[in-house]
Amino acid sequence: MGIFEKLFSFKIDETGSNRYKAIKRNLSILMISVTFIPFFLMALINYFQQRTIFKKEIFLPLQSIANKAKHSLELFIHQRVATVNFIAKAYSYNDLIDSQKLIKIFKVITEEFKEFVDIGVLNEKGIQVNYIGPYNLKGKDYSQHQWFKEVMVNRVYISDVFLGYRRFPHMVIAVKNYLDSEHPWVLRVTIDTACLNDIILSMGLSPETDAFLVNYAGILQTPSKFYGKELNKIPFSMPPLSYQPSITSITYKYKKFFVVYVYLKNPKFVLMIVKPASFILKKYTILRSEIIIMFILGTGFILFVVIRLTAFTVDKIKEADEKREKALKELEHHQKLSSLGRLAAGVAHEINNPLAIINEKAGLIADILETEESFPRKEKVLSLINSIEKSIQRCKRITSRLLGFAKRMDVQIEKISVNDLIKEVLEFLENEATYRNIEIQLDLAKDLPLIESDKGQLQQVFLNILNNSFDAVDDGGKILISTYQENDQIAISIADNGCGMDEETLKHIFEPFFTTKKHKGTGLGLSITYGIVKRLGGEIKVNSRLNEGTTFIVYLPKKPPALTKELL
Amino acid sequence: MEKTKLLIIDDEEEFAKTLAERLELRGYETEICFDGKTGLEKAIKEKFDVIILDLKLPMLSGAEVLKRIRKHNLDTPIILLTGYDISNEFNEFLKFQSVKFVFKPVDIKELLKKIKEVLKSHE
Repeated sequence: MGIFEKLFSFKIDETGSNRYKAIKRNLSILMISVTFIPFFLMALINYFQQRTIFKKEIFLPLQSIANKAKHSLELFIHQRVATVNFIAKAYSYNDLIDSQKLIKIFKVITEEFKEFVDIGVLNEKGIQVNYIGPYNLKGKDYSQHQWFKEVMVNRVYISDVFLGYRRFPHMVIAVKNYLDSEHPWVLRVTIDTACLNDIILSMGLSPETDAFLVNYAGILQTPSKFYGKELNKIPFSMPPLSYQPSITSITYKYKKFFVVYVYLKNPKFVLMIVKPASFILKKYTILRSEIIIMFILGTGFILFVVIRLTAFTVDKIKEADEKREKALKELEHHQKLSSLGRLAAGVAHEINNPLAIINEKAGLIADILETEESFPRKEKVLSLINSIEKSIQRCKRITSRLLGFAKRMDVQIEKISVNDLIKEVLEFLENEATYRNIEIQLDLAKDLPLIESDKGQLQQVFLNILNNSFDAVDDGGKILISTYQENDQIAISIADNGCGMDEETLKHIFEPFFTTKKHKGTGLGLSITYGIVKRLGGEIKVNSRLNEGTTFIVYLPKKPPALTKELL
Repeated sequence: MEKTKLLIIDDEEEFAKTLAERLELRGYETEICFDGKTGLEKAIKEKFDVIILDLKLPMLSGAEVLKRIRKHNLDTPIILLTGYDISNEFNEFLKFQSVKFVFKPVDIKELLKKIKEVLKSHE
């Protein structure tokens, strides 16, 4: 987990919204890397594999075809050579130099093998002593010709293709035989190499492919689409020797070609199949661009999803964090209140007893004095005791509020008209309002629905808030009370144009023992009010501007929360 | 006319004595106990018209005293004294016959009113 922590702690000493931005960023990077890298690798592998696959797909069949063609060609030549050999062995020299006989033999051969052009017999001196064929070659002296010399040595001679007398491509097969141990003679035939071409054509290659035979020196033996007719030289160097079909590539006139080739042993030719690279590459390029497009789309998709997902998730985290903070703060506040409450309850309890004693003693003094006859200043003494009793009453109110604040009070639920309640509460303050010339405006919603709540406690709430308003405004000030419905709740707004509060004060007004009235207030009024409103299932909000005024808004539900009902 | 007999059970001596004196000035006869045990014994042994009972007592709590008095089939009206320690038990107390509350510090007028009320309803 260390790396994740590192990733998350990277620059997250920042607080607030920056913190979440940083988390978003880090998380996005992490997720993008995790998803992107394998994706990229896959695309890459796929891309390069395509190449290989493609090559195989194109070239394997070609290689197979080349192999077959090679075998056909070799077989073909082998058969022709075997035929010539047969003739040379089956017939004697004397038979063959007999023109009649040779004509007959030749006729039979050409019936079977249409590619035989002519046939000739040469004596040991190289003179063609008999010849059947279209040319006038009887008596010709071949003793100086290379092929004659070769056949005398190698016994079998197969020539390369050459242009014969009528500029047709031909090849020669010659075999040596012996009259007797000392006198060799040669049987020679010419073959029309168009038959070789037929074999090549029978490979059934597609029209953009060129296939041909060359000799080991690169001279064309069959016509080529790209490189011209027989006996032209191919414009590229011969590939290395290979009796198995192989591939090479060449560049010719700025274009690239792939060449599948195979060397033949007999004859010494090379079969070549040439395919323009662009043709193959076109298909390959399309596939490649498909891969690239998929890759780009995929990447775009990854980026989009990751960023949105991360944003969403981190926002949820942020929300949850904020909620938790808020809940913790509320809990803290609550706990503070309850420990303060317990403290207050303890104090109130303790004080109640001596207070009760003082009360009784003072009462007894008054009782005794009343029964006494008049004495000077009797009235004064009695009135002094009255003051004591009044102060005790005040203490009683304070301790009762303290204890009420501490424990849950009995809640009595009834149907209440908030508007009426407000008017009742205002009756308590009528006198002061008139006396101080404070204008109270009412904007109470008609048809405000009745709510179920505790009348006494609501009275306390509004009385308390109004007391604060009265304290805040100067003589001649204004207080506006409005009621309305909002979101299925009842809202009561109490706004004054008094001295207002600054932001610092606003933060603390609901805290117990917090007061701005130096010697008058207990500091409990608003915290008790807050507690009551919360218990009744409502909300209390306050807005204020220094020297401009304050507005309290109390929200109350139409029905009390279930918990409150439990207290009944 | 016989004087109404009151039993005051409260652990604060000064308070109880002064209250008793004030009540006697108003024509009541009073007796005082300072803890729950003695208070209960006295309440059972002797006849009183009204018992003024503090909830916070040593030995036996006011709540227990109340319960046990009623268990003994004594229907003497009882006025409970308490600080503003309102708890859910209060509703329980009110279920008993002839029980009323007065909060400390005691307003003598209120106490007298409740005594009269409780005697009236008891007849």
